[in-house]
Amino acid sequence: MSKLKEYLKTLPRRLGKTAAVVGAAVVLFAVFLLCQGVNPLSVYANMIASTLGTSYGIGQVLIKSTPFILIAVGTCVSAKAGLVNVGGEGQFAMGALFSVTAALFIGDSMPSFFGIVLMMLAGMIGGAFWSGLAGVFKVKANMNETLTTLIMNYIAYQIVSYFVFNQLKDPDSFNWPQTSEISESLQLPRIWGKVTIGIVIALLAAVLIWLMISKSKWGYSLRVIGGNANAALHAGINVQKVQMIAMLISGALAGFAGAIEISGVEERLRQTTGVNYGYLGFLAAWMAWNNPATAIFTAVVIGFLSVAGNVLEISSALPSSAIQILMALVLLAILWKGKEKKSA
Amino acid sequence: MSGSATAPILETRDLTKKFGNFTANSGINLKLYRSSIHAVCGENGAGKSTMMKMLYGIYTPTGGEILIDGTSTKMTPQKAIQSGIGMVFQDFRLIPAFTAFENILMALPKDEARGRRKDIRKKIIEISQRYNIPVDPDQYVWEMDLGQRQRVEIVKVLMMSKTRLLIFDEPTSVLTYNEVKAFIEMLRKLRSDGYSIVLITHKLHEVISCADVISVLRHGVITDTVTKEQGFDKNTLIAKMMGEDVADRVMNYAEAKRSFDPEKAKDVLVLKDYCISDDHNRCVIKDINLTIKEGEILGVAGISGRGQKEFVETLFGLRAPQSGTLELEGADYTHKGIHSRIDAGVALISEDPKRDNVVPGMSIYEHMVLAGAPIKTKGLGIDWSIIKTELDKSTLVHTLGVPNINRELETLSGGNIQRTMLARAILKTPKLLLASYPSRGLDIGTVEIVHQTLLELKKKGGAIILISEDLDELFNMSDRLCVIADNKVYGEFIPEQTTSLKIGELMLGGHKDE
Amino acid sequence: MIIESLLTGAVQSGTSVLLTVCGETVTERVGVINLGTEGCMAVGALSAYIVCANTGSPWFAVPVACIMGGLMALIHAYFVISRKANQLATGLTLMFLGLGLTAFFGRNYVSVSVTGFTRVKIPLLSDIPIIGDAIFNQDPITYLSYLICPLLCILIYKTRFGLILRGAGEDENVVFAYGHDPIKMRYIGVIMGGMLSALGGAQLSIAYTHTWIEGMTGSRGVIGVALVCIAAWNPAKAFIGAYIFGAAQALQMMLQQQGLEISSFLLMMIPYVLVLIALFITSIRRRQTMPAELKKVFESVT
Repeated sequence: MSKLKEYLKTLPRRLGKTAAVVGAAVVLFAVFLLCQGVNPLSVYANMIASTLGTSYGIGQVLIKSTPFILIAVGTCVSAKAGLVNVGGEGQFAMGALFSVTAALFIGDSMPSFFGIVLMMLAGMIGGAFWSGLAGVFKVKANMNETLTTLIMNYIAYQIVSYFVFNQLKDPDSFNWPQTSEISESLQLPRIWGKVTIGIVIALLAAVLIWLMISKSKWGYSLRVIGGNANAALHAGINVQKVQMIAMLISGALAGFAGAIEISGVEERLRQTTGVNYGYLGFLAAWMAWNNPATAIFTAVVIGFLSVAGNVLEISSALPSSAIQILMALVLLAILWKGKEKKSA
Repeated sequence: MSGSATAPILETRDLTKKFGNFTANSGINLKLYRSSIHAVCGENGAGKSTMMKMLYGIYTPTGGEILIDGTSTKMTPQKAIQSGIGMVFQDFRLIPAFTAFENILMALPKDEARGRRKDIRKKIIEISQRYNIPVDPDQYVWEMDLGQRQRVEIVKVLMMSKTRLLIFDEPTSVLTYNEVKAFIEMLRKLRSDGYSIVLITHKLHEVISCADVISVLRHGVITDTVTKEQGFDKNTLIAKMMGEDVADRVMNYAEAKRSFDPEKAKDVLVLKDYCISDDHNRCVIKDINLTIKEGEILGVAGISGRGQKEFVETLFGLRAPQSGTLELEGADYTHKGIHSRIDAGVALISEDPKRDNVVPGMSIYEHMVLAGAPIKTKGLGIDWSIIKTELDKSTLVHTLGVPNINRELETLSGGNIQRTMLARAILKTPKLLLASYPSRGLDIGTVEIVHQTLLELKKKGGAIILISEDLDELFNMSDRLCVIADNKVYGEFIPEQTTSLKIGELMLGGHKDE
Repeated sequence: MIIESLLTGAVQSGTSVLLTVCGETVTERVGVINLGTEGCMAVGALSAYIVCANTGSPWFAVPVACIMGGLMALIHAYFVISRKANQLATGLTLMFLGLGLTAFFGRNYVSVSVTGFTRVKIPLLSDIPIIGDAIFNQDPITYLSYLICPLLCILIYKTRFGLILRGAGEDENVVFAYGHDPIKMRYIGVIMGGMLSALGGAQLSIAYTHTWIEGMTGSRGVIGVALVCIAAWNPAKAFIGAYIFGAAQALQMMLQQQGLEISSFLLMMIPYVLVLIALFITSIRRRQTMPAELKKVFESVT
């Protein structure tokens, strides 16, 4: 109980510090905008008004945040086991590919609920398959998982491209590289405007993972491995098995995000579906120091910036790369601030 | 010898160091002269390391001053090197991935490193011959054992032409019985060449024969300084190091030994034609045939790095043996994993708890359930409160002086970590305890407590394999002794029927390459 | 004929990766991993392109590109060395920043063409059968890369400066105890890495493709980081992985031109799969060569 009190007591101070550094990044970007001859105040006002000012905007932020939350939480799981999984990008793509294939195969053949569950499962299997490969490389051949997951992102991108240009290409799409639309019965139910239950699932998953890591016996062995793999070995923990499972969960969550994106947002797979989501999710996790609870918050911040970026493009005639710069600046600001030291 | 005729090279006046509220050193006054060996003795935690780090400029003193050749100087490591102060660190300042030569080259000051490589190499050979410190310049440090590493460290300091004062931090803690003798010989030669030497140690008996001055450090204060002319009295000095109470206690090892009856006891561990291999899959110890019984302590002597680490790790299941079989209480465990061995009652005290046991950020109680206290579950989670209360009630935890169990283990000193890990290993009364250097680096008082704890486990019927380099410890504690050398296990010997000289020679027997 | 053009393509396409691998090797030797290499490369490629387009002088473009890449790396150095930020996260963010900045400032240069460097034939040597044309009929930056590799080897392995540089990547306490400044060494290593990657980027834009398109570095920086590991942190081995990657790229383009019935996407996978296989081979017969301070980066995840 006292821990919670302590947490709440220091919360304003900690939030204040974060706000200050993020503010600095925002100011820096304003200077950048001024140099480009754009009025930063109107840009910012526009960004906030169109995201947080309208229910549509808020909905968009929630929709955009969903994959970031899932990928970020997945990254946390592997990180707690001492593994740096930068492969959210590829695992997301494989999840999307598997789920869209499942969806096109299922079509209208079964009740909506079962169809969606099957689709989600397919997505999770796709993501877990891709991260599991990296896990096998790590456990069996001791290949550095940071490098393998990173490289496998590019391979996944080519695989997805291959399928949307070939086998899965929509015959009616006039040569657009995309799959056919999935059946309406397989689309996630909406709860508020365009917002689907995806966000609820993502939040539930995040809380569940957080509980699992911080409270369960398995989470305890996970943290021991992440802290000192040698110590885990000496304690008789099967390090390879736990790491493998962590990797599978991590990928499954990213694949799950891919499935939700297909079922709830895009409704078909394109070459560009979810590009950069994996990296942004990874960064959300690392900004939260791999704490799944905090990662929800950072993922939403990134979701907000993504939506705001689209607004920027439309309202200020600035290219979408401008928001990439703003996002990088905000991330750098949070990295600059560093991890809050535990009070001794 | 203590030459009041010449001025001291280095002098400290009221040197004080505080870390927050904690005073590590206060009012340290030392005078260090040419051609003299000054020993600073004290228990672990007496503040020896802090003092030494101030002398070398790693710590800035919070009070007092350091004078070099009579001038007050603000020390930094660079300044120390320039002033001719060389330090041989306990945790050597060497880079394992580099060769001895590369390490030395890096350490040399700029003007001295400028010379041709060939000349530097020649100088290394010269120095190592002059002081009988064998060093192979092209050997990688990671290939060396601790004794060899220390020699590189010493040569490195001597290579700096300005060096005139050498500080040794616990130099003998990594050396074997015979190596210590050679080391003392080297010190004498250095002294006769005019070097000033500071020895920081808790092993009084090793330095008493060669020191010119002995200062006793206790609780951060120098309580006594005696010169050779005044005469050293070992018992008085020990009493001053330890405080009166501890020095009077004498352990009765013989009584504990009588509790073991080899005829009645059951076999706990049986090794048959067991072969141990190292990281590079080379055989380091071959054809081990050993039996250890309930309530027995088997001492294993040997120079460090002769396969002891691989030996215990293989017994614990961290490595697979090359061949042979291992039986625990009659059941074949040769291919069983660590987990099932822990379940069968095997416990390991690692030679390096920091590397093998400490999980950063986790508290002591969280460490205790790792392979120690059983985990109590509450629903799907872990019930920490029950675990905490049980630990609080445990007498063992108190005897061994485990600090507040809510503290993070990582923040404790090496000695405290070692004690905590011993407590964890003993908590569940293991049937077989593999103890690697359980008392290394601990002060005399704590060593006794460790020994008592081990003997109590023995009385309860636990079998113990005790790996150590300290022959006194091995002779006192063991029912039987064996020696690892030359890729073999020699023995067994009954301690009462052999001598430390013989064991010491055997330890070197496998050491033909030097 | 086919082999010759494959080899030429391998060197042309591999040079940028080679320079990146060399640069990242220096960076990792001081105990820092810079995933932002991709960003440094992109910045180098674009700044060289802009200078070239505006002044017409590729010789002026090269130093500018190096400085810009060095500045990008300086950001990384400041964050991970002085602020002790997580290296992987900072690197990734930097990659984003670099790609974002170049996409932003390069949008007006997409349709601008530059002459840049052209291939210079070295007489006699280029007449050597099979390999002559591939090695000795190249652009000036490629020739420069032939020099940089051995020079780096000498610097790292044969000089005392290199020794201290490597020392900073092995154990900063030791380096500090002997009066050297490990922080300075790290900054130097990271910045050198950024400059070399940027040079690689410049080769890509003004010497090889003579075009600027958004994201033209196409994961070469990331591949470079992986290849460092395969080259066992040794610049002398950097060319193996780099040219194999270049050859895979060249092969893929050639097959595409031949109109083979293989999907271009599957072909584009080849370089990445090759890198994975190379990683696999190096890790199963691995001798511990990873700088110790770098190992800490990977171990201190949580």
